[in-house]
Amino acid sequence: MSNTIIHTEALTKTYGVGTKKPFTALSNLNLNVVEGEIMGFLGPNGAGKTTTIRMLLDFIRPTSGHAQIFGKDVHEHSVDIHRRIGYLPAELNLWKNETSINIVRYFMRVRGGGDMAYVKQLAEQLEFDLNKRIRDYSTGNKRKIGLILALMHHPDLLILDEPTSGLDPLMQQVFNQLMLDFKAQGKTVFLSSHVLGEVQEICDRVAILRHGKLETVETVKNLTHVDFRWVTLTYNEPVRIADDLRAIRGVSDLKVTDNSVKFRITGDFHPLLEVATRQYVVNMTIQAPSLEEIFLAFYGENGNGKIAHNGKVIQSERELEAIS
Amino acid sequence: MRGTVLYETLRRSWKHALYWGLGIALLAFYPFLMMPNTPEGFQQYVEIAKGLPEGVLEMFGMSDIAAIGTPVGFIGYSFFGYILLILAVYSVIAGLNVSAVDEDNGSMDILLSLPLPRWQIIIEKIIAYSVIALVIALFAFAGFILGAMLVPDRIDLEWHKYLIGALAILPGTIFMMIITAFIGTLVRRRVTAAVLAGAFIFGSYVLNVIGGISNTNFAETMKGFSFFAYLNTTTALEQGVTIESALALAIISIIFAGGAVILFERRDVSV
Ligand SMILES: Nc1ncnc2c1ncn2[C@@H]1O[C@H](COP(=O)(O)OP(=O)(O)OP(=O)(O)O)[C@@H](O)[C@H]1O
Ligand SMILES: [Mg+2]
Repeated sequence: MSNTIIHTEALTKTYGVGTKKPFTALSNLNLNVVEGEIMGFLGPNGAGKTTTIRMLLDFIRPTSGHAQIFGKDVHEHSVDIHRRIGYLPAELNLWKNETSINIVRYFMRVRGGGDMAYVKQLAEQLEFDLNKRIRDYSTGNKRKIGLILALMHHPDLLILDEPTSGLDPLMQQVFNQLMLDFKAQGKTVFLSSHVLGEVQEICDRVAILRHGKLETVETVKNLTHVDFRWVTLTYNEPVRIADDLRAIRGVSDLKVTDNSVKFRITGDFHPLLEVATRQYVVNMTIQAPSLEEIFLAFYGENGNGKIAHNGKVIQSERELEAIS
Repeated sequence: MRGTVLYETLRRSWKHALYWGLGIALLAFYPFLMMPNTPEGFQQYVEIAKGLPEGVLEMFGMSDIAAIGTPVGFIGYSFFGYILLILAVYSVIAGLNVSAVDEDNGSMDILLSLPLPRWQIIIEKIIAYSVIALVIALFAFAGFILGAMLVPDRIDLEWHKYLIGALAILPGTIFMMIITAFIGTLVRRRVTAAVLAGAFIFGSYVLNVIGGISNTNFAETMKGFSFFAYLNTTTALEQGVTIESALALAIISIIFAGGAVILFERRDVSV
């Protein structure tokens, strides 16, 4: 049985309590992050990701519910907990006139010691110059100093708020490697993002948040194992059997362009194959849904996506019939 | 680790401390340069002062015109009369740096993610800026001593009187800094905090001036509410400040520092 590193219970935050317009940014979040996993915390803008993270770090206090890290209350034991945490804020604001190396030294003193060799190694890995003043760094370089500050003390838990935003593809790879190395030591990562594609490679599980409510917690494996496919059929002449195809159980989102037809299919292929060959098939491609599509499907185009329990995504009544 | 915020604040501000110190030292030195070398010369200043409206005199802390005709009174008026208003600039800037600046520009988040209790940040910064205020006062002392060396025949005070005089600016400077820090933890935003602190300090100054001009009991009471009243311009150089007034200001300062800690501990930190 693995240890629970982050544990929240009915964690709720309402901003502007006592004002005319109180706003509940997070309601009743129950979440467990276990030791050794990388958990993605996903949700669109304004879902409540940063709100949750800032409560975990005791910057803001819950309206109700509570949170624990390493089995300790995040407020009562914040200093102890912070010793073992590396944090990267969504918007890193550092003292503009200070150099990175000075800030590194400051943080080392606060933490009562540090590993300068490791800092140098990280800087090398990230191709980062420690001797510049903060005001002189580009946006991407500011992310890098943020990562160095989060990792420099060999923490047991990383809490990263949108670590991948603003990284170029190359740095994204370096970041992924850093995270996997970190995880290989049995340590835990909790990171937020609103782009699933950016974190799918490294996350073991993702929690999906929407309008301040937890929609689902699912392994990335299950999430990608949603049983619908995109099928494209190409014929030797204009498509005549579009209506027949559309009538098949489990087929949706059908679109015809000249000689080819593209649609989604849920469930078995046999009924499709029987109909598809009524015209001469030149080519057929089958595509698994991209994670972006799954992600979108979880939310629904207009926010009305429905979610089945075992990671299956259902958008239309017909699909529901098809798999049930 | 204890003391790290204090050390870091001093490390980052020693240059500013130096500039402030040199500036204040110059202001302490300058009156010696201007001091007349004959009784007639002093009398001239008294005559000029007599010609000024009472309100103007009070603005420069001249409640006792005759004193301006003495070397100690002369230096008192031409330094202590306005120095707190100048130091108010230091105090407000330093007080904002205690929490409002970091909170306003967002660096408070990363600072609080370190193993630092919130009270430590507030208290150690207040101590750091008090230490710098002490350094500035010592520069003023150096300015006095250099000035006195310039005119050994015109003024005859033991050196420790200058020290006591220079230290007299400390309680007010630290008090203004702590009040600003308190307001900063209350309103979070640096501009708002600066405006409120400025209004408080200027309001106290006006209260003190009015209290000096008018002779009614009410005005006297009003003066009692102004922290400026702790510093007696005429006697500051020779006698410093009274134990009672320094103590009173210290106690109020400690209360507000405690208030700042409590406010900051309890509330949400804004992004
Ligand atoms: N201090 C605050 N006062 C009032 N409302 C707030 C405050 N902070 C956040 N909110 C609101 O709470 C909601 C959740 O915000 P939060 O920053 O947690 O979202 P997020 O998931 O991090 O979004 P993003 O992806 O844009 O960073 C938003 O609607 C936001 O406007
Ligand atoms: Mg956010």
